[in-house]
Amino acid sequence: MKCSGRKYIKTESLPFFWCSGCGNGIIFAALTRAMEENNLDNKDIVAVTGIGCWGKADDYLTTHTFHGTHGRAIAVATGIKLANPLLKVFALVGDGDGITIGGNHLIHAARRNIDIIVIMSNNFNYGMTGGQYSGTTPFNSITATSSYGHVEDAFDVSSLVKSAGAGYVARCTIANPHMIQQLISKAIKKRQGFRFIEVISICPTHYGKYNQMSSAVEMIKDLSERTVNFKDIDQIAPEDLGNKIMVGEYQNQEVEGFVHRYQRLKQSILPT
Amino acid sequence: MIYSNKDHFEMIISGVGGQGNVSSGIIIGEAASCYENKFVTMTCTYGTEARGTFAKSDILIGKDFVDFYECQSPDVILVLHKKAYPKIKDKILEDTIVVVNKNEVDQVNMNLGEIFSLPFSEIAFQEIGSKQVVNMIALAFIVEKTKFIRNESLVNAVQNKYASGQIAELNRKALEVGFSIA
Amino acid sequence: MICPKEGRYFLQGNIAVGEAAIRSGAMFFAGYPITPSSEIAEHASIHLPIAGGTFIQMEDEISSLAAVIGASMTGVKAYTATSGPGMSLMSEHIGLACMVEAPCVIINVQRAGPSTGLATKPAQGDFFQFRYGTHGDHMIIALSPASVQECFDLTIQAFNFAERFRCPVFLALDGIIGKMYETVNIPKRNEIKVVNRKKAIASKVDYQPYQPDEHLVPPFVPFGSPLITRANGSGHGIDGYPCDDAKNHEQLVRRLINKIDRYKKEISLFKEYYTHDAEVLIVSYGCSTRPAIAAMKEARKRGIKVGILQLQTLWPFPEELIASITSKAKLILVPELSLGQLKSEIIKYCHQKPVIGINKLGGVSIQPEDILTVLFREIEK
Repeated sequence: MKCSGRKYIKTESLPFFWCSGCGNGIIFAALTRAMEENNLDNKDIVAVTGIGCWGKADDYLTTHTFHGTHGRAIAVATGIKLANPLLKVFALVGDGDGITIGGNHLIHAARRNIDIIVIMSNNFNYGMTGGQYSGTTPFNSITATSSYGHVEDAFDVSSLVKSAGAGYVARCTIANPHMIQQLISKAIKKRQGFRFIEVISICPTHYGKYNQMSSAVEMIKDLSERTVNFKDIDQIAPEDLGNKIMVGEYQNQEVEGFVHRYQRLKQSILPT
Repeated sequence: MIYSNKDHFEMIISGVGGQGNVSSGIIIGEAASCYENKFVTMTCTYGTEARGTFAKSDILIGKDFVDFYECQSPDVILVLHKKAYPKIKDKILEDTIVVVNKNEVDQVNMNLGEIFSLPFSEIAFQEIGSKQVVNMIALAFIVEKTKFIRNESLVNAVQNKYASGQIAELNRKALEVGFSIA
Repeated sequence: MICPKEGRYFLQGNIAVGEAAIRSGAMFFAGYPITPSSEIAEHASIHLPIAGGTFIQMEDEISSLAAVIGASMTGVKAYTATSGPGMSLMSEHIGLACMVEAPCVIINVQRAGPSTGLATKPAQGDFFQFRYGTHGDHMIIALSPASVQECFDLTIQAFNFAERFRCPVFLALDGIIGKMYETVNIPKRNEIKVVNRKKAIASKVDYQPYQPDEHLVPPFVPFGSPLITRANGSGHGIDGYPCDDAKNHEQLVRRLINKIDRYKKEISLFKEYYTHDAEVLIVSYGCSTRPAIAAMKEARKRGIKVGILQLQTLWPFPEELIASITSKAKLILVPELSLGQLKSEIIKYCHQKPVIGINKLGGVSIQPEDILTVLFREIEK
């Protein structure tokens, strides 16, 4: 379906504040197109953001928005959704926001199957503060705070969220914008449960520059080459999997979301 | 020893955690507040553990607002456990009525206060067949003895708490036993 | 509800708070269990779903207040309850609630700190944390009850102030008042004055989320309304979009303070006991008021003219009230379960009169004798 997503975009605020080559614009466009594809009404949408580059996404939206604190978008979104279950609540979080400072909120929201959609832009570093390492920065890579190579391992966020119990978990990259739109759209159509879409993105300004990949074109090409869809996993030798980025649906199950469960609980205790 | 005309009445229920000091206090509080239009304050002291350590409830009853919430000159002290006695001993005044569960508290200074030492556990077991109602028997005993609230207020409060069923019946019987041994 | 009808009840302070919250129309609670406040969460978990609302126990106090703020922006009255350690975690979102102007009530049943301190023991050591718990210039409202009846009454008042001023309001309980049981009169539903936040006119074409009205408070639009609204914790213009302009920031922060400060007199709730002829004035709040009343009566029996000013509103601090009421006193006594936090605030406004603190730590109550001892010692001098 051809969509422009324009009705959700505050065009007078364009161009985006993001650096040239940043993946956020691609995610943003895919998100608004997916909203349009599903005929969402602006008034029914609340986009909750935290702090970070992707946390600026609400500046360009014409939906209801809540721009809060670093790492807490999912917690704020939880309150919004539970207080008014009719709303379509999106939490737009980065890797710093979503899994590093706010990791606890992420796994608990997944466990509870809070009926929100979380879109994580994962660019492996803190872009806004100058490219320091985050919870998804790969081992050995260079950042502003790991000049000698990063000593820690990274989270596999989608696997983590899946094991925490989320009903829908999918990963894609900015090298395939159409897939981002498809996955978000699918998440919207699922209507309930915790839905998590991890979009592997790039930060040419910091992470790329530190790791000898300063052009966005080069970085997107690298993403493309390393991407493997779950469907094709059998065709790859296990020893070659280490460097690959798995994309596709990590989890797609029918679950009863928190809202529905709580409403059933309320029904069951109503005085007769 | 009749306290029905007193404007201010103080009572301490002491024992260890898990003995129902708080719930006994609530029964007294509801009896006096809701059935006699009195003003009641209760504060409770207990250790971090829910069970086994010293616990006490200070209950103060006034015609009007009670200023301070801790007992300063207790009219009655109920002692339900031997761990409690040494902790409340200093609060006993010459005319304080000290009601002791003989089965749980072995050593008591007979010169401190006016002592009523009764085998409440034994009575509960023999008369009701349950040690759960020790407190209720003791409360009824104290109420009958002192009249600081009316017997029926206590009965009403207990009835209100346990509307029906086996527990309600046990407690109702316990009150009767308590009144009768006073 | 525990008290289905009006009338006399024997309730715990924490439970009276919960009963009042539901009568205020609160429909959302998010919290994390912590002694000595947990009864408020437990009460909400039982009674909110019956009232049509929602209870959730979050993963920590940070997310608890975040969820409360989110819920509030949908137009729902929301509250949380905690104690010192949880307050420390909530600090981040106290500022968020101020900045996005989310009405909410935060109950802190104070216990002995710092850190974990004495988990089950009462204190009044968070006096300044209420005021300055979050970073940056801001103003908040904090109310403090000294009896279970006041727990009920001031909870209603806290929700009303939160709704009226679109700000977080603290209910400063302490472990004594929160855990204490007392006789309470629950009024009839229709006798309870409940304030609801002012709504923006739905047809307004040029609606701006942070355009203040004549009282400096922006009329509210809930998420889900056809009028699109924005909540923003970053510096923002009246349109709710980020703005780092110096003049705008100055205006915004001053307005957030002034919207409360301007109505300080109305917000300032207090009780006076025999202040008309008092030569010795006791200034107290919360649990310390109770031994103070007992001490005052004893002193008056002995012919010493003692009076009490009980502050029910701690913040904004009633500077003018303190200045006028202390002008006649020769001596000011300040009993508190901390090392003199309220005292240090009173000293600023009491015309250099002698101010003596009666301070106690260890999680035990101040006794009337503690106050009398100091009183007799000081008037001997």
